[in-house]
Amino acid sequence: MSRRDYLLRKLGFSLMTVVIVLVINFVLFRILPGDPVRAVIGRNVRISPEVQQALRVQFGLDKPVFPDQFLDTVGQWARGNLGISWSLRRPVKDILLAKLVNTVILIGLGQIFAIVLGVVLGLLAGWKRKSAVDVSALTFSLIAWAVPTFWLGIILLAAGSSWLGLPTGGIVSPANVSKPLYAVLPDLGRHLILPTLTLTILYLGEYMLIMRSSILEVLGEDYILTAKAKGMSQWQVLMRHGLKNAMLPIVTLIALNLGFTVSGAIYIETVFSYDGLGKLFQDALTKQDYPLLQGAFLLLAVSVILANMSADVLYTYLDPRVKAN
Amino acid sequence: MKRRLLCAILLAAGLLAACSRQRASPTTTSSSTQAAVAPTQAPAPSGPAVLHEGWTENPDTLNPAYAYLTQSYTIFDLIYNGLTTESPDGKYVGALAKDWSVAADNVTWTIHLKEGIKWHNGEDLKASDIAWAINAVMEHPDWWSSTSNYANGFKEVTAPDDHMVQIVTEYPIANMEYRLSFLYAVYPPDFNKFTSAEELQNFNNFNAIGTGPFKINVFDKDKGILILDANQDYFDGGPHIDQMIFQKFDNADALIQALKVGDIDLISEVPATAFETIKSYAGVQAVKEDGRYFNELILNSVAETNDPAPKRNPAILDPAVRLAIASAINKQDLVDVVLQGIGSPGDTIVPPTLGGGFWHNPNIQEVKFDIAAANKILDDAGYKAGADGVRTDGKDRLEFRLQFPTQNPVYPRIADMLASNFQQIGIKADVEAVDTDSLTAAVTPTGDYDMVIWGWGPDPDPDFILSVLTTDQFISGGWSDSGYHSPEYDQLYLDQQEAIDKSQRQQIVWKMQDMVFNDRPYIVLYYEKLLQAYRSDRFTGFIESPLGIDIAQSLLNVTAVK
Amino acid sequence: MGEGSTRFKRSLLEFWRTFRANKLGLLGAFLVMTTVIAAILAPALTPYQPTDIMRDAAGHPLTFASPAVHGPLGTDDAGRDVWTELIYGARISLTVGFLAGFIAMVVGSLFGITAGYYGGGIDNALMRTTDVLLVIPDLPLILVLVATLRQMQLHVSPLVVLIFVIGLLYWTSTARLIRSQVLTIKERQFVARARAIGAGDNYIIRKHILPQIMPLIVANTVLIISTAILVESGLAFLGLGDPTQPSWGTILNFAFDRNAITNGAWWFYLPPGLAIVWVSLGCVLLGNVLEEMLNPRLTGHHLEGGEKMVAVQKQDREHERASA
Repeated sequence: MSRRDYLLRKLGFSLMTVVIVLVINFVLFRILPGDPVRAVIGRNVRISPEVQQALRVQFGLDKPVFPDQFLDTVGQWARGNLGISWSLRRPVKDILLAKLVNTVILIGLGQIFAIVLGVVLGLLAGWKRKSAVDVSALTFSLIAWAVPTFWLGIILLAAGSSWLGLPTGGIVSPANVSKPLYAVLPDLGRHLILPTLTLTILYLGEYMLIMRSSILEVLGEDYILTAKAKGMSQWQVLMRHGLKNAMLPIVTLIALNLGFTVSGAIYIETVFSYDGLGKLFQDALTKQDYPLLQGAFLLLAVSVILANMSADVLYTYLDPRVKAN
Repeated sequence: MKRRLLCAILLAAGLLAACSRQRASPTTTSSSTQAAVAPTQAPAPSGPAVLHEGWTENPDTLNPAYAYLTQSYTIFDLIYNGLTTESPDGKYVGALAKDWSVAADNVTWTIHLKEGIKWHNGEDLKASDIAWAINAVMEHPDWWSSTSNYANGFKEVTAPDDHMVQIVTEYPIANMEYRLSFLYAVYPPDFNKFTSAEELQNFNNFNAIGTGPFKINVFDKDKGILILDANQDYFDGGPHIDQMIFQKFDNADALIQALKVGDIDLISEVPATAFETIKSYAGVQAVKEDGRYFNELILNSVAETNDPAPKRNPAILDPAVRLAIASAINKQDLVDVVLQGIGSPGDTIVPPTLGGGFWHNPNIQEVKFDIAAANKILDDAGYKAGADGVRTDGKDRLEFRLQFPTQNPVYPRIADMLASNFQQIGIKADVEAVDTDSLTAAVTPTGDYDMVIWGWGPDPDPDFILSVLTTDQFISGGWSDSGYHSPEYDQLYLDQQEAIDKSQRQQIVWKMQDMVFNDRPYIVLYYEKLLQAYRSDRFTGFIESPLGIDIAQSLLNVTAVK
Repeated sequence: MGEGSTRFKRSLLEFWRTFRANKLGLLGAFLVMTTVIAAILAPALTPYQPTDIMRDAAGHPLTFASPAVHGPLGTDDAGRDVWTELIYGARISLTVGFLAGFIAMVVGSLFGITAGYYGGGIDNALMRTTDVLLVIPDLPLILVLVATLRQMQLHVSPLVVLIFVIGLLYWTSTARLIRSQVLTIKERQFVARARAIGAGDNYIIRKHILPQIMPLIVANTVLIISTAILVESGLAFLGLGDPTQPSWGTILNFAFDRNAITNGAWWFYLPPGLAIVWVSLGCVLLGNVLEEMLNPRLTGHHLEGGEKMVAVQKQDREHERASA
C-alpha cells in the first residue's frame, strides 16, 4: 500500500470516529428527560414561556431532530459553540480553554518523565536480563498495572505532604494565584511533583517493557558482534540499535496512551485538586452540568482521536515497511 | 444571613448570563489584577497586612437580588451595609443609621444616617439612594427574590432630606431592625437599568460598589480568587488590615494543609472531621461557636391538590409512618459520627442559638430513639413485613427514595446511617445523590420525592426559617421544600410578624415550632457548631461570636501580629 | 464415554501440571481465591455487620480509632470496623467485577464468533466498531454515560448501572481475540469435514468451535474481571457508587471526603486500596498464565512480536486496563 493510500485510509477512519463521537454526544444530549430546551438554558425556573419559545426557535428545537437539529448542533460545535455551563453560567468553550494548559503541562511532564525513565530502566533491565534489576523492573510494572490510579495518588499525597511537606493540592500557593504561571515556576514545580510522580509511576512500566524487549531483540542479532568487532562497546551498540528499534512502538504507545492518560488525569486532578480539565470533568459530573460534561468529553475524545491519527502519520515515516511499499 | 447551605436555584439562565456579560466594568480587570499581584507597592515599612481566607466554594453571584450561597452573604457583609447590623452580642446596632425610632402609630419609622458616608467610588451616599434601593425591592418583589421577604408589609419609603429615611409600613412590624440589616444599600446606577427579572438576576455584580469596610479589587472566578481592598474612608473607621484575599480550594484536606503551612490565615468552615487535628497545629487557633446551621430530613408533605400533582409513595403521609421514622433515627449517633461529636441533636426548626435562646421552644418532647417502639408503631398501623423484610399494608410498600444534594461530603454519611436505621424497622430507603439544581427542581414546586436530606442556616430572627414552611412559599423559586400546608400555621406566621409584644411573639413562635415538630414536614436531625480556624501567630483581634470570626465587625478589629 | 473421559482427565492433569509449574499463575490463583473465600465466608470472619458502629464505654461511636485501639484494622469516620467493611466490601467489588466480566464475555464471544465465522460485512462492521471504541477515551465516555443514565431516573441501583456500562464497554478485546481464534479454527479440517457431511452453522459453532475456544474465553474473562474491579473502584471513588452498598472504592471515597489524610488515618485508606491491588494483580497473573497456556498464538511474551500485530494486541490490552 502506498503511503498516500495508507494515510487516506487512516484519515477516513479518524473522521468516521469523530462523527461517531459527535453522534454519541448528540444522542446523550437528547435522551435526557424533559424538554431539550432545558439542556440549553439550564434548569432556571424563572424563564418565561415566551423566552423559552424564542430560545427553542433560536436553537432550532422546533425542527426535526434529524438531520436538521443534528447538523445544526454539529455546526455550532464546529464553530466552537459548546453551549453554556449550567453551574458556571459561562460559555463552555471559555471554561475548557482556561483549564486546558494546566492539564497539558501535567500530562506532558508525566509522559516525558515516564518515557525517559522507562527507556533507561528498560535498557538496564534488558541488558542485565534476569538480574535483580530486571526482575524488580518487571514486578514493578506488573504491580503498577494493578494499582488504582486514584489510590496511588492518595498514598503519594499522604506521604508527600506529611513527610516532605509538599502541598496537598492546587497548582500554585494562594499568594501566587493571581500571577501568571511563568512568573512562579518554582512554586508551580513544587505543586507538580506529586501529581507528576503519580502519572510517571503509572506509565513508566509500559515504556520500560517496550525498551526491554527491544534490547533483547538487539542482543540476539548478529550485528552486535559486527559492531563489537568495529570496536564499539556493548553499551554504545545497545544505545544506538536498541533505541532505534524501540522508537516505533514507543511512538505508537505515546499516542495510544494519551487516551488513558486523559482518564488518569481525571483521577489525579481530583485527588490533588489540580485545576485542569480532569478536575473540571469531575466537577461537572458532581454538579450534573451536562453542557460542560459533554463539551469536555467532546474536547477529550477529539484530541485523543487526533493524537492517534498523528501517531499513524508519524508511523509512516518511522516504519521501514510502509516506506518500502 | 446564611441561607440554605449550598442551596437553591443557582442556575439562573446560563445563556442569558453569558449574553449580559458585556457590561463595561468601571476598572478594567487587567489593571486591577496588576494591583493585586503586587500588594507590596504600598510603601508601608512592614509591608501591607494581607489576610488570606480559604473556603471550598466561591460566591456564585454578588448580586443581592438573587443570592443563595452563604459565601455571597459573607462578601455582602464586607462590601455593603444595611441601615442596621447585628453585632456579635446578638443586639442590633446602627450601620448606616445613626439612630432610628418608630412613631406612636407603630408604623412610621424615622431613620437618621451617619455623617460622611461615601460610596467606594468616592461619591457621597444620600438618603435617597437608600430609599431607591428599598423601593426597588418593594416595586418588584419577584425580581429581588432573595431580599423581598424583608420588605414585606412596607408601604412607603421616602428620603425627606439627604440624611433621613422614612419608612411607613402597612401594619406594625416586630422585627424591623433585623429586616433593615439585610436590605443592603446597593449603588443605584448599578441596578436601575434592568427591565426584567431575568436581566436583573443574571447580573453577577462582580464589580459591586458599596459603602462597606472593604471594596472589591478583583474577582477572578477562573482562578477561584476574590480580592478585597480595605476601604480606608469607611465611615466607622477603616480596617487595620490592607487587603483580604479569598481563595477557593477544591478539597478540604488541601485547605487544611494550606492553613497548617501558613499559606492561608483563616478557614471559614472547618469540617468537623478535621477540627480535633487542627487544634493541635502550632500557631493556629481553632474556634468553636454555637452556630445556626441545622440539617433536616424533609418528608414530602405536598398537598394532594397541588399542581402538578405530587409524585411520591403515599405512605409517607401516614402519621404512623412519620412517627416510626422519627423514632428510628438515632440523632445522637448522627452527631457523634457526622459531626464527630461537635454539635447537638436537633428537635425544632428554630435552633437554640437564635436570639440567645429566646425563640427556641424548650418544651418540645423529643421522640426517643427506640427501634422496638418504632416497630410496634408500624405493627399497630397494620404494616406487616414481607418476604424481603420490607413492610407493607397490602396497598403501600414502605420503600422510599432517600435523596440528598451532591457537593456536601456529609450527606452520603447521613443517608447511609439513616438507611441502616430504617432497615431495622422494615423500611427500605433507596439512597440517591442528586445535584443541587435537579433536586431543587424536583422538590419545589414539583413534589417529586419522598425523603430528602438537606440543611438550613437560618437568619438571626426566627421569621425567615418560619416562613420556609408557609404554604405560599411552595412555588417556583420559593423557599418551601416540604410542601407543608397548614392554614393555621400560615395565620400564625402573619400573627408573629405583627406581634409587637416580644413575649406574645415568643408564644406564637413556640406554637409554630410545636406544629412543625408534630406534623413532621421536617425532622430536624442536629444543630451544628460553627467551626473556624485562624493563624494566631499572624493576626489577632478576631471577635468570636455565633456570627463567625470573618464578619465585618470582627475583621475591622483585626490587626497583624508584628 | 470411557475413552472420552480418560482423554479429558489426561488433558486436565496435564493442564494442572503446567499450571503448577508456573509459579506466577499459582500466586494469581491464590490471590483471587483468598478474596473469593473471604467474601463468601465474611460472616464467619468477623463478629460484626458492616453497618455496626463500634462504641466506647460511654456508648459513643468510636470514630477514627487506630488499630491499636480497635483491632485489627481500626475504625472509620463512622466508627465502623474497617476489617468488616473490607471483607463485606469484597462481596460488592467482586460481584460487580464478575457480573460485568460475564456481560463482557457473553457480548464479546457472541460478536467474536459471529465475525470470525461468517466474515464479510459483519466482520468488517465489528472490526470498525472495536477500532472506534479503542480510540475513544474510556473513562470520560463511561462518566458521561453513567451520568446520563442516572439522570434518566431508571430506578435501579447505581451498581446495576455500573455493571452494565462496564460490561458493555469492555468486550472489544474479547471479541477480537475470539474472532482471530475462530478464523483459524474455521479453516481446520474437522470443520470442513463437518460441513461436508451437511452440518449447519449452528451445529458447527456449538459442537466444534465453542469447545475449542472456551478455555480462551475463560482466560480472557479473568482478565476482564480485573479491569472491571479497577474501573468500579475508580467510579465509586468519584462518587458514582452506592453509599449503602460500600465497595472498596466507596470506602476510599468516604476516606478521602472525610479527611482521613488530614487525620493520618492510614488504616482507613490503605487496606481498601491494597485489597484492590491484591485481587486485580491476582486476576492479571492468573489470566495471563491461563491465556499463555491455552492460546497457541500467544506463546512467548506478547511484546516480543515486533510486528504491527503487536501494536494491535497492545491496543487491546491497553483498552482492557481501563486506566483505573
